[in-house]
Amino acid sequence: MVSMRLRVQGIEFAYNSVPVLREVAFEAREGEIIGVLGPNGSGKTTLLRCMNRALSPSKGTVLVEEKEIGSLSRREIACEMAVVPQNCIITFPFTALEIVMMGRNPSLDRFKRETKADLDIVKGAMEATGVSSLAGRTMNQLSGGERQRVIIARALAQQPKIMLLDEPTLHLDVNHQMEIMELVKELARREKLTVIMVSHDLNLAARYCDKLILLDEGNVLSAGTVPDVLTQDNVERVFKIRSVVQYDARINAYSLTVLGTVPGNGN
Amino acid sequence: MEKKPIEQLHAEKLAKWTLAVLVLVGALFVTIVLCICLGTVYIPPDRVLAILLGNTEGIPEYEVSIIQQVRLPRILLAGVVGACLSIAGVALQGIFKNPMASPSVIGISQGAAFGASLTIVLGFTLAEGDFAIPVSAFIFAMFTLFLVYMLGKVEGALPTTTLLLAGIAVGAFFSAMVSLMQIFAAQGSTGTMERVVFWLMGSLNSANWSQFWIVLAFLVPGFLLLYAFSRDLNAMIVGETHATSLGVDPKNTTKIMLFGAALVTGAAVAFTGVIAFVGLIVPHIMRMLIGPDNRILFPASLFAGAIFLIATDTVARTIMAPQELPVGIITALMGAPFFLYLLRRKREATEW
Repeated sequence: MVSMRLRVQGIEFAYNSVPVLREVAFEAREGEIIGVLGPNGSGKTTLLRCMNRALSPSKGTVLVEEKEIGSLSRREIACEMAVVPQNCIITFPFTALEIVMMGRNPSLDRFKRETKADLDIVKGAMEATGVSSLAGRTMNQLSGGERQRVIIARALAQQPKIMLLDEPTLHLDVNHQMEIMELVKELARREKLTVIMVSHDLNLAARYCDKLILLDEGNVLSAGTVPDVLTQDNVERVFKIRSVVQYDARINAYSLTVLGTVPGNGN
Repeated sequence: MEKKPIEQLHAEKLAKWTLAVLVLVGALFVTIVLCICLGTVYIPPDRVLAILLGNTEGIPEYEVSIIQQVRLPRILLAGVVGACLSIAGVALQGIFKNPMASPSVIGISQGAAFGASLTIVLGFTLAEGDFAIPVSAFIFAMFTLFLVYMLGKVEGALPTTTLLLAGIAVGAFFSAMVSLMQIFAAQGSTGTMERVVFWLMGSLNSANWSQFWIVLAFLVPGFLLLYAFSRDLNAMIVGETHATSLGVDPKNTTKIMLFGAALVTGAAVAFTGVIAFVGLIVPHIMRMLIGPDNRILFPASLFAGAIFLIATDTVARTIMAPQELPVGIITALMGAPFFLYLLRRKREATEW
């Protein structure tokens, strides 16, 4: 049996006894970028939150390198998995450096200060995401794209094996969307990071993800390669649009073209 | 904008922390000595130092007793109370991610004041002398916290907005109860309003040694608890999902911060009433001067809070001597303009 970086096995979750996820299962290898797609309310973010045990699923398990995360402490989970949440609004004037340094928290004892080694890890993470020159600025002084890169640097400073991204390109300008996705792709290749990315941007997902998981009302409707998942039928059923996915040699990736909405889509 | 290397930024931050602690400890010592000098009888600093060091030779006995029995306990009590309110402010501002939060804003102070005045009015003596009042103040601080917590809870989560609003409402209610109770209890007798004012604006004029030791006994474990979770509080300020991602349990951290804040606030309010503004302004000033990291904010606010309340209480007892003013008036009168000055200056300098 091939050793998997991540196994999600039969996850079920309900909010106030309304099921949100049903029997969700998938696996990921090192260096893979997996896109979790689905319309609003399909359970994407809930799945992400179950994966790092911010929420406890009522059924099913998550295995990181064959270790069950239910048996790990929060800090141990944080050493394996880093999350890049959707938004980042900080009331108090923390600098970018201070934020990235927080990535070392899970590996430090309660009263221990950061060492030279921690500082080097932080420096490396900030260089990798191109935010070294912003180190002394406060988060409020940064643009949305810069802030997102700082948060990704913090996630890298955790030295995780898996990175969970929740709509990493939401609220960003098109150029910054591309920038973030190129960065994620590079990190996956170079650092052998497994990336699980929730998105509702079908085009970006088609272009950058190695595999896709399509959620529909908490069920995995389809999982696999981009052309296998984003079929005309699947996309029409879940997103109520007509579309076509094609390999585009100019970008060496798949691209999705929306042809139009489905006539009479009422719901 | 100049770009400094990361190592330099980090080293500068640590140097700033060390400097801040050294300056504050020094300033606290100077403040204590200077404030002991001042009063209806002026005692020069050299004699104050001699008495503090236990060398009373050739010094009039009444000066020794003024210092040992009156001024020193009062100043030390002001110090620990100021420290309590300030670290509670740091904890609450962090949890609420809101620089407006303070022990009086979320009702803990008023709850404690209610507990204390209930004991006084009903004449309970659960324990000997000094203990009944602080015990009751402390129980009510905890009760208020529990009440606010339950009222603010929505479907198991603890949204800070509802928590803050619940705190304001509960605080206003207890504050009104304190006034009502004091007025009814002492109807017709003189001094009623003074007692109401004492509880609602705060005063240190009944200070004694045992009060100081009791408050200190709450301050030390309270500070250690809050300080131990200061890094978790940093992560909480960025957001709960961020905190979870960094291995921090947000709910647990919230509970610990609320408990620690209530612990020290209850103790402080028990003997001095509700001294407003200290818990709001001191953490805020420290944050502007040395940054938002709670690992330095807790110790810095501990010392700065002590300095601030010792200084303001000295003004309160000397400015119109022999008449004393409620210290709450002075904390607001001195604190507000300074605070506004810092706020304006900082905004212009860094666009924050």
